[in-house]
Amino acid sequence: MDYDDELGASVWDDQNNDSNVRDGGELATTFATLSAGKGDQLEHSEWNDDAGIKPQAEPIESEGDKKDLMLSLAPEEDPLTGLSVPEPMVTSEKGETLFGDVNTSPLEVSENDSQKSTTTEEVSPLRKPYAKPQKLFSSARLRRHPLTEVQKADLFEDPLASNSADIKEDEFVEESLEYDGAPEESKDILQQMEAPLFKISPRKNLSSTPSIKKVVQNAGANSQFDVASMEAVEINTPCSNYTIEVVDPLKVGDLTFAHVEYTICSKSEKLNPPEVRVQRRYRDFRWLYRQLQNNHWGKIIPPPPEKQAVGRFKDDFIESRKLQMERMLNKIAQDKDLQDDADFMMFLQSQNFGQDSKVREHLTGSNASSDSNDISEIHISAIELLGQEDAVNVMKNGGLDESQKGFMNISFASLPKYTESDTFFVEQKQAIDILEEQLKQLCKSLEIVDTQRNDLASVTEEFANTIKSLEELEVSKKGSEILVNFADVHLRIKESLQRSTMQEALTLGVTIDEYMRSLGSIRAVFNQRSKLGYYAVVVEHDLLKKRTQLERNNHKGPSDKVEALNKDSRVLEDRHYKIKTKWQEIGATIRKELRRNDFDKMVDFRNSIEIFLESSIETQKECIELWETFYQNNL
Amino acid sequence: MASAVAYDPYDDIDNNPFSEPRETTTIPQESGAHETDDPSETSTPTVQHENPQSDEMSLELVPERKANKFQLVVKVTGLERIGTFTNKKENPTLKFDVSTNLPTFRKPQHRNIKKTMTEFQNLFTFLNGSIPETFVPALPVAHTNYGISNSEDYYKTVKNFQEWFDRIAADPLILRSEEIAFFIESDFNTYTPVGKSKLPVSGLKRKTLKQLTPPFDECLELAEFRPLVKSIRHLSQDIQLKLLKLSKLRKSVSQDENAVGKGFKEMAQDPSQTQSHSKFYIKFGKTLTAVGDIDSVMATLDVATLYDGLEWIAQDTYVVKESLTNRHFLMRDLLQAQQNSRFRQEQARKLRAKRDVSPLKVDDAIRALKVATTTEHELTLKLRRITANMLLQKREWLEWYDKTLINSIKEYTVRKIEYERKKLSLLERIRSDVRAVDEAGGLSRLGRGTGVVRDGSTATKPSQSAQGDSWTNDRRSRAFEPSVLKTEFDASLENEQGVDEITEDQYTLDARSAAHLLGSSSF
Repeated sequence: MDYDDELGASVWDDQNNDSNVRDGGELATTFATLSAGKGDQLEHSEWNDDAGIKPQAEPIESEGDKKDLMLSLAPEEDPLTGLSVPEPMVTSEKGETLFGDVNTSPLEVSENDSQKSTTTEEVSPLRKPYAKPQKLFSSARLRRHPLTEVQKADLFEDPLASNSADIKEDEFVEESLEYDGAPEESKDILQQMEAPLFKISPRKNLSSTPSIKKVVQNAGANSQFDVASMEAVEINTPCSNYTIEVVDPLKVGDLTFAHVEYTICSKSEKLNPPEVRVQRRYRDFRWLYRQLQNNHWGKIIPPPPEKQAVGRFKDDFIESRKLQMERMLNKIAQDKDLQDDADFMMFLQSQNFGQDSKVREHLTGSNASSDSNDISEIHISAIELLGQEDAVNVMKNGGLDESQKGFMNISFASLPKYTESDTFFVEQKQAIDILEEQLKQLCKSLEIVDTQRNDLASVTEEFANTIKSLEELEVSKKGSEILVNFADVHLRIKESLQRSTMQEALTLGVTIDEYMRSLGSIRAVFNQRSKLGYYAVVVEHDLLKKRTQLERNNHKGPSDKVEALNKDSRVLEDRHYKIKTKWQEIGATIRKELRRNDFDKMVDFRNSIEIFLESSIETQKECIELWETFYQNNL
Repeated sequence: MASAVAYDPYDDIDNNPFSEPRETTTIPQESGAHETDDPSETSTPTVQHENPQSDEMSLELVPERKANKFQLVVKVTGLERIGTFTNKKENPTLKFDVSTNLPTFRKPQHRNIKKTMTEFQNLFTFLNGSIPETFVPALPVAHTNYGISNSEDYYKTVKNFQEWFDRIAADPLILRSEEIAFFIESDFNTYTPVGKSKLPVSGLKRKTLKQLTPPFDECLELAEFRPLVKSIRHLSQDIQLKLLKLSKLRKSVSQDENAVGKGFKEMAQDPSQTQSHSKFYIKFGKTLTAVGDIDSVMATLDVATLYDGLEWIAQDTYVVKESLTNRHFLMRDLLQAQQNSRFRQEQARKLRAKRDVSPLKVDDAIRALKVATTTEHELTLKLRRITANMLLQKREWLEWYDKTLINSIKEYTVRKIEYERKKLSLLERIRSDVRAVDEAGGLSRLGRGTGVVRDGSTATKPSQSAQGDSWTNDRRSRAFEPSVLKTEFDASLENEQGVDEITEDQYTLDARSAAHLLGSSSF
């Protein structure tokens, strides 16, 4: 059996060596021995310290090896994510090892080989059985989600393997400790025993996480990044392969029904023909917003621009709206959950949007086209909440809270009220109110600055013209020459002022505007939660009422009424459970979303501030240059 | 052939060794012309002599200009403002030393003379009325737009008055007025004009007369000069108005910029922001506020430099214009006198034609004729004298106008550059913070220079230095002032940082106290 194993191993090695020889030759192997001999720990720390130096130190290495190395190092953040997420994830990653083994020649085997060559032969037999079980484990683990008997079975097989791991690869043990601290799950001795195994596979795993991410993670681990932003980084990895452009705003229709249609060009692998052009109007964007809101409760949907009644057909308004809508679509496309949304896909592709949107709306009960002005207002679809059948019943009765409204919509009983139990949400809500106030203030002052700057520009022009008219008197040659140039400088400064004002509006203004609108979206999310909470309370109230009725009737003995009541209360219970879980779900989503949103906004803000700053520095330089030139030439 | 010098067809002519060098022939001529001009030049050194003959003639008419024997040297040494910011800011007291060889003065040296602004105004009105031949320089503004009681205002006002005195001293006609002596030798705050002077026409009559078409002017130069001066005045007032509007707008913009900065600062107080970000927002907000403040400073400086310069020009043009109007009145008078004398002549001729006339009437007529002709003669002479002097003055005035205008534009530009640079350095100072807060920013947006910014090699370095500006290769004509790297608002930016900086500041000295410590006053 050993022999067989050796044969198998050598076959692997041969392949590997071949590739090595082809690419890098001996160096690669020596490096492999080095890495194996010194141990991963060293290597690991080195990478942590200066990720930049290593790759430079070994450019001689073949690219293949490098990649392997990178990849072998890259997953080092994977165990973190993997372990922070419950077990099953880890096992599935183990499955990847298998793949790696099969598809590419993994470092793992070559290392084993090199170790084999360096260490004594007595050890190698110990090692080989280990190398094989490892594969077995991983394949087994793929099947095994619950950690019960199978695990124990593993243990029985393990002793040798674990011993060998302890002897030769203590560094793994150390790391296992390190990792154990994080998940706090594997305090079990059994699991600790297993831990090294866990480490081996993900470490040498050929998972395909981008190396940049790893650097970020490392930096984070070293300099104690706050957890929130780290998670946000994870959340934030852009996974968009969409390119969406909103172009060609076109005024359509006659005087009474005039509206502007925008053409949306989207390119993506996910779309059926990978390139689509469709016409949409503003109303459709709002529909999309509502629909997405309905489909993803608790998610902060990138909001569409505000409604505007007057001046809808002005060019600069259309232009800015176009920009805002494009941003909205791109934001949606970048979101992992939203980009695959059926309605979004439909929005991007459907040539018969009017019909399709109606159909979808009816199916989901989103009520998306009856759209109020306020982004933060929401509609909770009963279908989404309770499922198809129950929702039909509820709708028939006129909605969930209908029972509370008595005859002629006058309620006699005091309405149950929903109070937010979680202080987190209360605080967040307050914070958002404050933030909105501040942003409004900021926006207002920015707007004022904008208009004032435009005034300034026009007055500067007047000023320059007056100077020019003084020049036209031609009192003296030199004087009038200076005056001409003086006026010219002012005109140029006016231009640059206008440009910088526009730039400011486009960067800071747009960002703040978007931030404000997204606050509306956040508010909508809170509204969803409180509405759901309200429903839960209402249904609970109903349920209690039904139960007391039931009890009263139970005393009288079994009858049709009791049965009906029983059924009702069961339905209500069911409903209550559903709503309650949804309510809890939404709470969790909101927390996550808020964190993500905060991070996104922060990044947006930072970006726009940076752009703003850079552009104003450039403007400033231009201004200085203008004056210096004037000074040099004339004075 | 590859020659760096372009081929010049006339090259060979110049190279001819036998041809006479041009310079040698032309120079003696020029110098000769120079010499002939010299005597006139000594009297009026600043005037250019396009037509020496008319100058000679005008010099005969204005004999005071011929010999430059009298001198008045005034040195303005200081300025006192009695009163506070709001009170009496129009009324500074000038201190100056005088040394002169004018016979009207009792002694040649006067030290530490103090005069109030009202006294100056009295003198000016007197001079303006009593010497119709010349353009009396208008008084400079009593206070500048730098605001009162700061050093900039002090130096500027002193400088303006020095210039005014210099202009007075350069005008021989004014020098000969004994009122100057009275003014200087009178006690502090006691001067009132001793002699009587008044404008030829004043009040409503002046206004109506000004509406009439000006009389025919044989001196085309002066006839054209008045409308020119008038439009200069109007236009500079227009510019002033626009400038004021501009600076007002700029001030309000700066206020709003401050508001934006404050908005950012408030955002930092939001508890949901992480610590590092709130700090960053605070800093950004502070920088925006400081930039706004600089804008407001610039608005003030705009007004203080260009506006004040134009203000003086406008006032001076008014004086010039009115003097020219006075000349018009004189011309009218002359016309009237000519008419009168013609009328008298006619009368005398009529009398002579009559056979029997009473000798009394003849005497009367002859006397009237004599009077009429003498007044006509006097007026003609006076007008010629005025015309001659004004022609000379016109050139001087135009030069002064040019100089003043250019100077104020220059001042404006220099201050502008200074503060734009300060603004730039302010903005650049926060740049590194913006970069530091964002790993994905800066060059790393393009996929390079990730770690570099952190070390702060490129981003934190200010783009302006003694080596010139980083964005251009041109050397500046002026020396680099390191002061632009600091602004008045640094304190507000840094105040939350450590105490150690403050203690450091305690030991830094300004120039004055350093000089004081060394025991020798630099002033």
